[in-house]
Amino acid sequence: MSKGTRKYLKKKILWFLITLVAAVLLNFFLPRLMRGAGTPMRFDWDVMVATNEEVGFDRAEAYNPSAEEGKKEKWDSTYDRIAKEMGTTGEGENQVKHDKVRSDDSIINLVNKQVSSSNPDETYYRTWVSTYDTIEKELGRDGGMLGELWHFIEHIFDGTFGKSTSTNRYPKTVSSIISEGIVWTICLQIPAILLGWLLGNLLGAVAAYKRKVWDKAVMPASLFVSAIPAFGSAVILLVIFGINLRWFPPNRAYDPGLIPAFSWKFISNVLWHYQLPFWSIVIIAIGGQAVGMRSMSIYELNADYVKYSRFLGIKDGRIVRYVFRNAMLPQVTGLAMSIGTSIGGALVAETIFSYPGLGMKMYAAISENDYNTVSGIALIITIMVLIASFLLDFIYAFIDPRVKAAQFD
Amino acid sequence: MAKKMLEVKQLTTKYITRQGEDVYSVDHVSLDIEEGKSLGIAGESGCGKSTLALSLMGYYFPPLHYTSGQIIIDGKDITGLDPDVVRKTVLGSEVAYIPQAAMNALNPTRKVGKFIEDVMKAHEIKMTKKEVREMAEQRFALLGLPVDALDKHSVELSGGMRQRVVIAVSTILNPKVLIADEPSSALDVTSQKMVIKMMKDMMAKGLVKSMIFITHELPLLYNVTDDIMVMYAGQIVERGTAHEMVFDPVHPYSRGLMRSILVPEEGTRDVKLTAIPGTPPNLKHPPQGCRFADRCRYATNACKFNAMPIVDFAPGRTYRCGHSVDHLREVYASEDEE
Amino acid sequence: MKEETREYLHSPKLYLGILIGAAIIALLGNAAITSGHIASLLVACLIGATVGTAIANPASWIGSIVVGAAVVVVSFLLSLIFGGALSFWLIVGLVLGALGGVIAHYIRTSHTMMNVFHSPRFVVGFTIISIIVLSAVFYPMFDTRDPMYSYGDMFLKPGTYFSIYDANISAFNSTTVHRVLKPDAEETRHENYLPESQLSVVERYLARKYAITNGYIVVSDYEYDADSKKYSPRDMNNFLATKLSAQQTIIGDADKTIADNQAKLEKASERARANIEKNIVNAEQRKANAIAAQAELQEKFNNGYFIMDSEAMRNWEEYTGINASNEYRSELLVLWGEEYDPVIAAASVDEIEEMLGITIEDENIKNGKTFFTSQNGFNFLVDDLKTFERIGRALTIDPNGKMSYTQVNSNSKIDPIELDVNLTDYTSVSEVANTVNFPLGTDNNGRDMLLLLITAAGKSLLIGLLAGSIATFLGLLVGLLAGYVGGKLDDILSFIMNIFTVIPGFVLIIIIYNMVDKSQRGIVMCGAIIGVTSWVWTARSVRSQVISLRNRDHVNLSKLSGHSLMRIILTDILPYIASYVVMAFILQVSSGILAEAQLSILGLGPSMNDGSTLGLMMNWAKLFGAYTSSNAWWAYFPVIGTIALISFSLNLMNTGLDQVFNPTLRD
Repeated sequence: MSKGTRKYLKKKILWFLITLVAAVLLNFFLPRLMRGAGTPMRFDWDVMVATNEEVGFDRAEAYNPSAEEGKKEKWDSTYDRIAKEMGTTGEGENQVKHDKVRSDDSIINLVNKQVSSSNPDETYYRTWVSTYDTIEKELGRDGGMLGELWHFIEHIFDGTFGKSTSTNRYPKTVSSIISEGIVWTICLQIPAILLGWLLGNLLGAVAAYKRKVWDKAVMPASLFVSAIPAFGSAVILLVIFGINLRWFPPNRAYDPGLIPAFSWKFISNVLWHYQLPFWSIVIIAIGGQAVGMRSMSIYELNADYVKYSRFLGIKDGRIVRYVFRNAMLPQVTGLAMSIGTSIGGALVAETIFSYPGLGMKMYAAISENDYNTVSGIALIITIMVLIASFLLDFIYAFIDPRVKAAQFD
Repeated sequence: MAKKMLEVKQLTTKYITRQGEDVYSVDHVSLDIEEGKSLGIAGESGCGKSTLALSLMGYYFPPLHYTSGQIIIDGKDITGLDPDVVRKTVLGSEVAYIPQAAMNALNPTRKVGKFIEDVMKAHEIKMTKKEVREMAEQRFALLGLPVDALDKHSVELSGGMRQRVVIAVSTILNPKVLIADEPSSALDVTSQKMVIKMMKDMMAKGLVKSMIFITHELPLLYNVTDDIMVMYAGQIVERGTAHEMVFDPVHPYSRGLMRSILVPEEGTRDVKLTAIPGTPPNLKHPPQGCRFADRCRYATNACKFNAMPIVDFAPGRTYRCGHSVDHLREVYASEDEE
Repeated sequence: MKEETREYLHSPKLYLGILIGAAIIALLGNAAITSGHIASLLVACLIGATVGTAIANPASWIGSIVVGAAVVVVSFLLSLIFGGALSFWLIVGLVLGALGGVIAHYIRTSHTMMNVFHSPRFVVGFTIISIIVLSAVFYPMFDTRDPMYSYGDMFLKPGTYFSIYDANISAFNSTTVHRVLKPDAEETRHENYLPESQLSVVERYLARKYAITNGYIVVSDYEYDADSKKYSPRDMNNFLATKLSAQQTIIGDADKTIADNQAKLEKASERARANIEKNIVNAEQRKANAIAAQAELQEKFNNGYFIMDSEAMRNWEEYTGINASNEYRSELLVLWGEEYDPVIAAASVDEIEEMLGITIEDENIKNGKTFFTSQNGFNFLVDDLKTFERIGRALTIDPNGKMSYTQVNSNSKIDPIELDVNLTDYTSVSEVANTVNFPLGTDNNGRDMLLLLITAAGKSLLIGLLAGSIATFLGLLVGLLAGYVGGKLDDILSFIMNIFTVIPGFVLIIIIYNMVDKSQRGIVMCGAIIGVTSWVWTARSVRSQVISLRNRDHVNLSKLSGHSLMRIILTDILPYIASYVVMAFILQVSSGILAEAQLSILGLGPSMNDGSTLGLMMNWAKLFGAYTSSNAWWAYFPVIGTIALISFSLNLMNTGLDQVFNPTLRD
């Protein structure tokens, strides 16, 4: 490895580390800045509490806050946990009173709430406070802003990313939620984005070389395709192939009855489910790349070395290979830069397909106001993009000699 | 008489514009070069020198089209050959071309050595990689270039070095005719000197049999080439040996060109510097008569209507003008006295 | 008067321009006034004056101003003639007219502008986006209905809807009844009923339910072991014992509860007593139920009746409210198996024998198949049945088992009317009293899609515009400072920019947006957040341009002349990067609209208070199953198309501009 390359790599590694730290800090501070602007972190836990110890009802049951009116869906693990936290046990079923615990409710309000209720004997503010405290502790807010930061970092290092603060998943750790989804996401998106990149480059190169019909027809077409948002292509493919033609299943990653295993049966089922989400991402990626590659190729095709190589009798075919190799190389950096945006679109595509990747997890977390999970997934995505773009830059250093030269400028 | 390396007879080529009009950039040009000689072509921008160079290679690429004429290289007629045959047998092996600003002529992402291999392969020369490498090393050493340049990419070499590498690569197949298009214009003076030296070296060592040197820098031609030819608006207007052309230009245009250079020698102070007013004609609609007529001080009405053919007036000297040589020399002499 | 002016006054294009411009203003402006959107009137004036003056193309600036004003005056006169009320805004209109003239003249005379408007890509893109923007601005004035008004039902198909009652009434009126002989009327008559496949399924189900009284019960004697992936014979006695003991546990719990509560009863206060007693009663009931269940189980077992894997079946019953009693449960399973569970459907008796490696001797099983149910299979059956019920067709089955359907209007409060109607009686839709036209159908909440789409497009464009402006402004500012001032400031700003490049903007938006209180999430906030997270790209582009500019000669000259920093930036640098800034702005708007759409789909979009946006419409389509269960293409396809079209046209404009400013890219 030449000196120039080494210098480039060193710079890149340093850069990667700095950005990593910055990303983590940003991930932490940004939302809290918003909070400082007057809107506190919010999550809703629907807690039903006992009214009076005398009655014998002393169990807190947590209910899914997003359940419909009248339908009570109990979440046993949660209530067990809460019951334990609250130090209450026993059975009973009279739910006399319930209210929503909001994390932004101050304790005073809680106390005021039930003092003003009709039954002054009710003493459940105690249990409410303990729930509130539990939640506070879970988020590390008992130590102020610095405490939160420490809590946040600590949880990154112990690998759990903190615990999910949604009622249906507490106390599942965010990292376990992430690990459920991350494999699906990576297996879907990385091949799709790469394939789209390759095909798009090919298309752009051909359009640049052949001009005429290709250029006039293909370019506007790919411009239009690249204008379709990721969820758009997802929905279109879903409707045409998944629902109307029924060629592929419209959702999930594998049939519900199947059990994940390394059998051909399972894998083929997964691949079958894989098609629609995969191609919807590929189509979008192609369009965007083609346009850029075409411009780059045109630029290269007009370069001096093309003419000179011809003068020396080198065949057109070989010259074209030169040109496209040279045009392709900057596209690698382009890929690194655009991975961030592609991921965003692809995640939304996942939600359309109910594909059990990070996109769905994020979606679920957002709709449940599960702040911890949202933050954790965001951080993981950032890190993945960071690693991917770093790897690409790394590879690029080895394949493009112009990089070495540029270091001496 | 020495063997003629290049014979061009009445070559005419044209550009076809987007609107479909014909522009005859090279109009019935004839010239020849003997073995071991070099010819310089001078003229202002747009006179057709570069087009002539391209045409000489048999290299026609839209919008450039061959119209008529003959090109014979070392006895072989290459006119009208199939482009693929031209590519394999002429380009690079019979005729080699060094472009302007050759700095960018090499593919920035390919090592020089590998590129030479590509050239070999394209000409279907059967040599192993090792043989190619050896040959390349020899050639480079012969021309005074560092051998390790073969392992470098062009971006890693300096501008002057790149130019010389390009020249070396161009001549690796020992072409009969080397056409150099402004090879030193983009370089600093020291590099210029090295390039010129190298080219002369190649001629001396017989690596190339003849050379055409295109430039707008006239002082250079005097020091480098044996003969000089002046082109104007797609036609040759005068030709002679370098000495004759510089000190005894006959055609008004040649004279104008020569008088616009500063020659560092005695008496320079007394020479009036003149520039030639006006611009070359539009070759879409070339004028009926002499193309230089509306810029020429000595033009008569006859000049504007009668096109003149090129004529020999002395061994190895040709010119194209309505006035006789003696008349012109008289007029020049009287002007010089003023 | 000057010669040229006199000549010009005779040219037809002058009058053509004025007329066209005035027509535009009159048309749009009138609608604006009637609907009260004064701002739109002013926009209409500007547009009309610009277009008119562009057509008229006077040679001088003064001329353009005069022509522009003239357009406005003529339009006002026109509207007066036709009864409009535009006269009040004449003064403002005149100013705008003059402005329009100036703009038109600039476009006509500036070389760059002419190049721009001759670039085919730019023109196409510009046309498309103009149509969209103008529709968004002006259409609501022609159609002043509230876009969020709900017409009731979900996902109505595009078409004209007329009140059936009124159509029937029309049948009584001799003037509205016409005789029309449609050639293929008979063949198309029954199209609107349930699809054939569903009909036969329901028919079989109901036939079995009502017509078949007896059958055998299928027993599944095999259970599936997930670990070994095998089926093995089930020990029926053991199975019974398990079921019984489950009930026993319930009994035991109930007893305990009763005992506990009884103990508490003694200590309880008056008020609490009632509660405790209720507890006891409930527990006793549970106990009784469990005992009864045990008895039933035992009896079933004795009689050979058992449904294995019946939990799914039970859920289904509960879910649909259909109470399938034992006799025809087997038929249901057959039905279920045949139609809705691919696993079962595939299995014939032979296949099952092979699967299990056994020979089935039992006649019952042989004839009735063995079923291994899958949890979700029954959902489809349920959905189909519900559809059937919702449409409200009543079945009658005659003694021969033949089915026929009669229509029951379950939602109507009016009884069906007895009519003497001929098959050739037709009435025109326009003659029916109550009709509603939905060119694009309705969405999940019964809102007119076309109107909603246009207004939502307007809101999305607004967000895009806001986001784009903020992003471009920030990007320009940072880029200028970093590029021109350089040094330490540049290092810091570049560092920040590089970080923001790598961290996906999308993720940033999610993090920030998620923290904002739901009530604050309006359109402005949305646009602002998108803008604030996407300025980096512009900043980088501007910075690199400025860096290459700052060493140019004219800048150095200004520096030497002692011009202030501001002045240098404004006069020497900005004009050169103007083309990049314009292109960047267009790109930012485009990506802002896209970002909003993606956010809304994830549920993070602006709240509904400010009206719908394109992304929100997609979100609703998704949430309410427009493409999964309802196949209501009109609820999402036009939305996707609009988003794509907006994006496409903006990108096209950009490509066109790129070709104008970068000649190497031209064809």
